This record gives sequence, C-alpha cells and structure tokens, in this order.
Amino acid sequence: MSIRQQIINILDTELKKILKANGYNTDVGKNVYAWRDNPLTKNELPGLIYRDALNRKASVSIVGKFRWVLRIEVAVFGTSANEIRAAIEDVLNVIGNCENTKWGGYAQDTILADGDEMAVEKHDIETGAAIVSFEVIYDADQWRM
Amino acid sequence: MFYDSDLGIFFTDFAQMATYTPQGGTSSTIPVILSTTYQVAVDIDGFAGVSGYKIIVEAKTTDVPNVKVNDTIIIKDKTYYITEIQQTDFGTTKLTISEVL
Repeated sequence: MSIRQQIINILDTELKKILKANGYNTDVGKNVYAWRDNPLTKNELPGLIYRDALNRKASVSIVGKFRWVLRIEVAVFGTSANEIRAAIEDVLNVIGNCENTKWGGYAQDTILADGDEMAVEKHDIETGAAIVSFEVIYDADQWRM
Repeated sequence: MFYDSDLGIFFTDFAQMATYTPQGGTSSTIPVILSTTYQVAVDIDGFAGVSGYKIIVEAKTTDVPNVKVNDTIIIKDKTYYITEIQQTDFGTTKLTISEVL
C-alpha cells in the first residue's frame, strides 16, 4: 500500500471520530465521504466530503526519495453558519492531531494551505459549507508515492 | 389565451389556502398554488453540495398587491418568509419562500 493511501486511511479514520461523544463540537463524523460526487441530502447533515486532489512532487528531495506534497481538501456541510464554524474547528482539530503523530510516522510535516472558504445559502432551509485545505508533506521511495 | 376569468377558475380548482401577513399589516387568507424546484445548494469549488429545493407559491396579484420581501405566509401551519417576488404578465405573482429569515 502506498504511503499516500496510508495517509488517507488515517485521515478517514480520524474524521469519522468527530462526534460529540468524543468531545468534538459536532457529529460531522457520522457522514464522512471520500470523493463523493452526488449531493448530500438533508438527512446527511452535518457531513463532509474529502478529496486528495493534488499530489505535487517537491523540487528538492533527499537522496533516494521523492518528496511529495499531498493537497487534501475537506468540505464540511451543515444547516447553519454556526454549525459550519464548529465543524471547521473540528476538522482543524483532527488535522492537528494527525500532525502531532506525523500521520502515524508516514509524513514529515503538515501545512494549513489557505485556511477555509465558507458559504451560506438560504433556500427551503439554511445550508452552509466550508472548505478546509491543507498539505501533507511526505517522503516515498523513488517512483513510489 | 388565458383570461382573467380563467384565473379565478384556475385558483378555485388547484389552489390551497394560505395565510399571508405583510410586515406590520393585517393577515388575510388567500388561495395559492404551491410548487417546488430541485436545486443543489452550496456546491462550492466543485464539491457536490446539498440537494434541496426552492419553494414557490403563486398567488393572484390582486391578493398580494404590495407584497414585500420578508413578509410571511403560513401554509399548513408552517411559517415561511418571502425571499423573492416575481410578477407575471398573467395576473399572478410568484413568491419564493424559505423557512428561515
């Protein structure tokens, strides 16, 4: 299994732990999806979709390795601006926990790329979303990821 | 052709009753036609978004001559806020409504 896949597996596991019962602000961990391309339903709120959209090779690597910068985007969805802000903090908390363990020893560093981008719309009900983007820097053997 | 008299028949046959209340005004019971349109909310940055729908009620323009955004309408015991107003050329006014202000 690639290091990239190991990192994603850790992320998926940790995101699913975002439950009020575990001390988080929200229960967004009940509805975690990777690369989902059909809209969430109201019954799946709060929820989140994550994607590892870009894996960029760094220009400088240590000898015998490829250094990768894996960009991950997490979109959280909820029914109010307050809920979205709470979920953003939960996701940041998860990223921080993963960084503390260097993603189970698979990564060198984590960078919060752009903070977050948030939107709220009012249709039949209020619906909000925010995207949190971050980058995980890791080394793999040459021609591996 | 669609005549004013047809409008009355149309609302008599298909409408349901709703309570319309202008801000600072008096409530009135009016016939409205309710419809919904599928739409996806907050589909930001290529993410899938949340499936939902837009609720539109159509009323006779004579029943809501001075309607304004944020006036309320009660349908089946649920209160909605008017978020968009569109007058048609057929003597009706379409009101987009939301559960939230």
